[in-house]
Amino acid sequence: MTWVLLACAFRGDNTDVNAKVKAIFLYNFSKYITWPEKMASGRFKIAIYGNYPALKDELVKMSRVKRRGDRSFEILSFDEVGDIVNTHILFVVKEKGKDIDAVTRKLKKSSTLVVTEGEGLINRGAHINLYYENNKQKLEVNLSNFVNRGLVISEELISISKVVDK
Amino acid sequence: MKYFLVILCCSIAASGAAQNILNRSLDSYQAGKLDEAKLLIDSAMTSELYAQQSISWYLKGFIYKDLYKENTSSRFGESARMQAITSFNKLLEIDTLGEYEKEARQNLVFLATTYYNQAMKLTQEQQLDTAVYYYKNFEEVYVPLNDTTISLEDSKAKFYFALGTGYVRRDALDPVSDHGHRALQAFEEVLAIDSMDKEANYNIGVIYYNEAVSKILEIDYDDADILAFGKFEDQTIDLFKKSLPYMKRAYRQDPKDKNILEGLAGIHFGLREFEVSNKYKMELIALEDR
Repeated sequence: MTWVLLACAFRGDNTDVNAKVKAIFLYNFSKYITWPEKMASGRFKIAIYGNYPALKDELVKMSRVKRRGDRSFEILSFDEVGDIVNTHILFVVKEKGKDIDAVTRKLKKSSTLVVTEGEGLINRGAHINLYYENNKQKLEVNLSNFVNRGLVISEELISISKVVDK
Repeated sequence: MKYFLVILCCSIAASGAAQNILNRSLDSYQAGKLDEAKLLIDSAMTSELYAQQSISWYLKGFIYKDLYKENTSSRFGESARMQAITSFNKLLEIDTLGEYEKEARQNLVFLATTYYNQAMKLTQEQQLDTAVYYYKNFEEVYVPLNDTTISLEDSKAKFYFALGTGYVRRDALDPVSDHGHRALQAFEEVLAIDSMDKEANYNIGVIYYNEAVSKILEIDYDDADILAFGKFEDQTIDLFKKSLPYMKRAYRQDPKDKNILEGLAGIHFGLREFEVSNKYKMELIALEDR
């Protein structure tokens, strides 16, 4: 019956479903967060710091078909802290969480939304940290960090987030 | 065939001249003139006299069985098979002395088997509803015989497995319609017979897993509003959780099956149980390194 076994094949071989979920979250952040006026024109830039090809692929796919208002998306990725430039969103992959202090220093004067996925990073400069709880993707936010960078988070997004600095 | 003809000749001869029409039908049958034999036996059966005799049903059963064998892929052949079955069943009913029982039962087993074989062939040809129809016919004919030459459980498990596989293939060609649900039902039939069947457990696990993955991969970004995303994830997590016990049972049957290890790694990854997922990935890598 081996042939039958193979006939029932997995959907999306090598597809990282969690990358799609993260891409959905990042896309949604672009809708529920407001950036300062100086960043209100040009392409909406989402960047990844670190190596996460599946997430980059998802974001690139998204950028081909979606827009933020009249703005198209641009997806970037950086391997080194020194390469990082101002973008609307910077997603720091888990393995690069150790560089969070350097990343926040680098972006000190910018309004880049820093999104991480590591324990404790929300108290070290990240605006939003993604984590899992009961098998589900969750997010925690540090509202002080939003205010400091001129970013405005919507009440709706706060309502589904764990706020760490009430 | 020789045994049958000897019995038939003796029986008809013994029943005297009144059996002339049966004799003529038998002669035609022996001469290979099946259409003529059919006309004569059908004519004879309109008479109450013949219709009450075992020998008439015996002869009719053989004539129609051979007509079916000569016309297996036509409607006429289909009808002939049903007539043959009816005849042999009637024979069993009225043959109180059991004179023809053995042969009647053998022929019914043969005819039931033709339904089964046809059902299995139809699953390969993707004629799945018709396959079910023929499988049901097989059961209807075979079950009352209380015959032990064929294992009914094995036959049923093999058929439903082939049926489930047929639905999986159809789903791959036509993912819009919900063939996966019917595949699940078919594989569950297999598990009702053997709950530890490795392939059926694996396939059900894959179907639930694929449904979860498809939901995630196919959702449009604008339909995936983050405010309602928790409810969406409830659905996908539920599917991953449904998949898990089936894949675990398959794993218990064969812990070195690479497909199953890949499945378990994928399910736990979908559930964000990364340590467990990695454990299965390591087992898979260890197997591949051998």
